[in-house]
Amino acid sequence: MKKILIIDDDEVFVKTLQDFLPKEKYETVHAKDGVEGLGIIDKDRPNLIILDLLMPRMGGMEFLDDLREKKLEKEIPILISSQLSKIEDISKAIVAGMDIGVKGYIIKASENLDMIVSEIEKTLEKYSA
Amino acid sequence: MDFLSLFSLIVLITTLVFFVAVFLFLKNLKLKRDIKIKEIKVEERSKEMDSKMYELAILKELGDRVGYSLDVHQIMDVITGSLHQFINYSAVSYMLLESDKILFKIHLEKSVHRGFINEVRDRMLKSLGALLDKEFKENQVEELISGAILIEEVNAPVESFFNIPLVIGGKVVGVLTVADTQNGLYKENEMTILYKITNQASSAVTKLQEVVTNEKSKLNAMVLSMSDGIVMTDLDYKILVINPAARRALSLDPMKEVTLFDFIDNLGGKFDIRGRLEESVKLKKEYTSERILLGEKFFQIFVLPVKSSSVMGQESITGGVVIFHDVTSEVEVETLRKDFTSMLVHELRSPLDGVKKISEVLKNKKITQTPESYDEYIDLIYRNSSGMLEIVNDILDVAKIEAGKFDIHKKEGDFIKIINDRVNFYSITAQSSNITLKSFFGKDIPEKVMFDSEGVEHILNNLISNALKYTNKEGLVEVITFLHKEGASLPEEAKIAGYQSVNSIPLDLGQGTFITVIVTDNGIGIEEENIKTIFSKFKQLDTKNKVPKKNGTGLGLVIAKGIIEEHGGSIGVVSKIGVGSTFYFTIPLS
Repeated sequence: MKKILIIDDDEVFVKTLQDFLPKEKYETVHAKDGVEGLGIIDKDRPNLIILDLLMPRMGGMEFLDDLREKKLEKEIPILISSQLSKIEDISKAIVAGMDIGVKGYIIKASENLDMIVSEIEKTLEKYSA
Repeated sequence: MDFLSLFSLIVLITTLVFFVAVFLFLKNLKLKRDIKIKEIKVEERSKEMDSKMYELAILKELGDRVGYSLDVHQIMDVITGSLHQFINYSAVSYMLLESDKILFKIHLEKSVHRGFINEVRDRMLKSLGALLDKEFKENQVEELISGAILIEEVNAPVESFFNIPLVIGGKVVGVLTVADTQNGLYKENEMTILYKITNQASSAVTKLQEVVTNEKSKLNAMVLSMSDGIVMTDLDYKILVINPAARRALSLDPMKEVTLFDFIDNLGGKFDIRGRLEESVKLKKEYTSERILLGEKFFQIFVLPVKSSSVMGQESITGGVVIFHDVTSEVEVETLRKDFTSMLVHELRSPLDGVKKISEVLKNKKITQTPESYDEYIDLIYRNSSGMLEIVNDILDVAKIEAGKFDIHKKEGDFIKIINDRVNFYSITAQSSNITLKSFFGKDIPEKVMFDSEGVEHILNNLISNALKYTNKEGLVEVITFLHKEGASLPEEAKIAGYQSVNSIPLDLGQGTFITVIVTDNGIGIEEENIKTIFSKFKQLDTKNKVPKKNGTGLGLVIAKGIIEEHGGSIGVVSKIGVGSTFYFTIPLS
């Protein structure tokens, strides 16, 4: 059973993704922002993080910086998710987080839930420990 | 009568006749002589007049030809070329002071020998030296001889010599000389003519110089004060003109002399100024650049050839000009517009995508829904769609306001009821955030007021929800409504009605009697620079700060302003960071 941490303040996205992910294979945990997300990582290490960029209190970029500080022994694979349609904006985050586990990205508005789920599964297959 | 008396009488008469004849003869002679003298005088006079007329004509022509040129050589050539019409000479010559040498040009009407020329030259050099209190050496002189050939055998020396200084703009610039091998040629007449001509030339050139200097300083003043940067170079890329705006644009020293290299350095490769100037000058090309960021400002750079037409009407390129046109404000407006559009798109796309994803889940047969989950999804669909509809309506309203086609529908209604309605509506939200929401009413608020109830509801929704959003837990939001009477003090009236905040209400919100509504909070407040744009659809987007992004289009206040203005009232805000914000609006009583 793989544990997926979704850090996002978009309740519709979180709920629909949670419902779409097969419950037999995946356990999902939800954090509203970066602060909550960091707390969850400390307590119970997930196998994959889906990280949104625009959140109140602590956004995605700040979360990546704080995660770097933690100096985890083994990196957790991260997928950046965003409503932003411009690749340039997302690529900034990818480049910034490449050294601590960012493996790819999801563009929410352009991708169907099944596409998103297959990408999650691919990433888990490739980078799981 | 006897014979003797008759004889005497005849003799007497004859003598008388003789004397009369002689007298008449002499008189005639004198007359003739007088006439002759007069005739000579008239002829002389007429000759003089002819000569004067001729002189005037020539002087005028000289004046015309000379008056358009500042080239002293040209002028001197014109003068020496026409002098022979007035004066006799073997040679006419002039000496002009140049920066590094003395130009000596001598034109021979008659052949002379080398020694003649040398003597003329030496005497001119001496007189020039005397005029300028300097000593000039032979080797500084550059000689140009034209006209008749030199014949060594014609070795007559200089017998007549007359010399006139050339003064332009009050300074001696050279001398003009006529010389001849014959003696006693240059008397008063000739000297006068020479004086006249050279004076004419001098004053014409001096006047022209003044005109040019004046025009130059006018042009200078204009170029100096222009807001666009201007740099003009000659064909060797040497800077001829540079104004303060250009120096500022390139962060150059305001005083020091600059060269094109300074420009190239400070442009840092963003613009090939040398290359463009070369194209401009050599190929007569005009160039317009894209927007280039120099320092903190955006510029559009234009490079053009400088064309000048000579007296002959021919056009030639004398250099290039580079204009730095500040387009920073245009870029700012465009950026704001772009940011606004992308913000709107984002605000709509999120809920829309949400509804799409919900449909995806509900369509999927493999996912079983619990009734609670199902209800939750329906609720989410409803909320997201309503949110989108609101945004779309707001966008439409703002478009109408901007087009001047925004209408309100005023009806007689109960103003107090609307206020209470809204405060009650938001009391639940306030409670959930532990914020106290209170309302106060002043005396004498009329029972029936003419106003657009939907519009006022919209405004109250916006102001109260914003106040609640930007106020922390345990905070306070108050809605104070009162009637302002003409002539009374607004701050006083507000205080009496219950307004306590330190943010001071403006004294004057307009003429007449009107209802005033204040929505005040003790929340985080608004930054001063944001207050300026708070009622405009283009706001300073807060992407730099770590302040949490409160979503929304920000159009609510734009529409509120539109509604109030249609009522003929005013709307505004006073705010202080850390203290709180006080929004107010007025509804005039018709």
